Amino acid sequence: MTRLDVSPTAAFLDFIERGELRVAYDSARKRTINYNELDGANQKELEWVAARGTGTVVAGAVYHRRYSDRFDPPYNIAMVRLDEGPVLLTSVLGVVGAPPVGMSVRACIGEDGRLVFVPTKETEN
Amino acid sequence: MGALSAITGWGLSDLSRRPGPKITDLAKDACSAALSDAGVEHADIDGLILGQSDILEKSELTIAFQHSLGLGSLNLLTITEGKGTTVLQMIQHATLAVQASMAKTVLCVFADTPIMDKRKAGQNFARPSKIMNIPDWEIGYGCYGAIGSYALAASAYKARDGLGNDAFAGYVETCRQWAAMNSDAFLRDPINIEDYLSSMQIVEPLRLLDCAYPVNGAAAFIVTRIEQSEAINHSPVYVHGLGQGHNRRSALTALINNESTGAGAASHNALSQARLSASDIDCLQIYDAFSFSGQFGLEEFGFVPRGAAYEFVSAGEIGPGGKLPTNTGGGQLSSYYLQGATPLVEGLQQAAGRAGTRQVQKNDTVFVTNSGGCLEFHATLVLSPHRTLS
Repeated sequence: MTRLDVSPTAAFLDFIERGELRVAYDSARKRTINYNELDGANQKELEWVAARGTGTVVAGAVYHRRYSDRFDPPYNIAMVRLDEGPVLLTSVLGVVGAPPVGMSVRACIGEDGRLVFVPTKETEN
Repeated sequence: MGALSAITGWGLSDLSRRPGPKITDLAKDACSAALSDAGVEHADIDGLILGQSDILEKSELTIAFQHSLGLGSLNLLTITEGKGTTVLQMIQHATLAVQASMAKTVLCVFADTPIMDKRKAGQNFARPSKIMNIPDWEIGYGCYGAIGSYALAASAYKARDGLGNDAFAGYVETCRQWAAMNSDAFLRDPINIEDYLSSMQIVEPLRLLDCAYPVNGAAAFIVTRIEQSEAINHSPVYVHGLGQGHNRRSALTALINNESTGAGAASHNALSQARLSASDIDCLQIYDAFSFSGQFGLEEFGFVPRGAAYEFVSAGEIGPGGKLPTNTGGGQLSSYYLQGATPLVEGLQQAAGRAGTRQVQKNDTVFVTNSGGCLEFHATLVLSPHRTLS
């Protein structure tokens, strides 16, 4: 059930907590809403569509300096554009160095509940 | 076109890499230096604009500074905060105030103390990056600091233009060439490609040498009406164009969506006010907290076409003797990072012909930029030693 009594951002995070990656679709304007624009959207006008979970790396970086006790460097961060259009800040598991721009990836929920991505089989070969 | 205002004096406090004087003491020293440079007395100042550093959680540089500086009654007193654009915004607000005859002689001062006891400067910049606009999202991925967004943007830029691990090496080397001629610069030893490639990775693709060199310090500027500008002991610098451009797109979102930041608007607004085009600019001072932002800025502000910055830099065009001498004091990478004051001070030195051995041959038009966030916020100035531009 999509909750109407929460903000679009909270709704998105609720889905992630349940292990689901969804995309906000504004049916009136016939467009998907990017995640960084959710705060300006109206939850009542949004349809939360299950994402296919596949996407492409559009930016990738590696932290070599420690900024937090939780993360031992080196670790990567990436921007992944979902096939549906919206872009996510995430991490790509199982790659050495920076996730290369153009790499095909698919979403998974890690053991820690984080939304992360792994390279799809085609890219691994 | 006639100028909008004049900058008749400017000055710096001591700049330091160690924790030291209070921010208000640094600001006082910069004000004294600027007043003496302009040849004006405290009593001549009738406007005060304070620039607050966004880095400091709670700056002690407040409007009470009027009294600690010993200024009399003022006709203008305010604080400006525009992230990285604060310093140029102070000059813009002062210009508007003198144009509107609210004040005649406005003192603008910016001070920053990112280096404090028991904390390295880097820690002060280590707040979670803001990319997703979802609370705490970045913390879950260890994405901290402005450098997180900039490193991602730099990776997208490199991929867009098919650049390798030397993408920013030429830019960094050129800044050092300029810094070697600037006695105020902290990093003056020449570097080559091997030095660059052996520099520590901070957030790949950005290395230590790609990052600004923060200092504690202050800078002050005296802005007057044109009519007031003659009575001083050196040539004033005239302000001919004011620009700002802010849109939702950061460097990162612009690059991954094949769009532009607000830099183009900030550039266009100032240039058109001065009735100039980018190709008329003799010397450029760009806010380059990271090498990437300086190089990418050449494109975004309209000085080279999209995709052409790497070649332009590699060909030596921003260095000594190049077509567009840029960051001629070493910029924020090699001279010192005092936010927007770094490019403004050097722009004034060049426009006034006071840049010593690094003085550019042609200084009729100097363009200065300030940028904040991950390039979401931009402010610009057109400076000239001439009161009118024909």
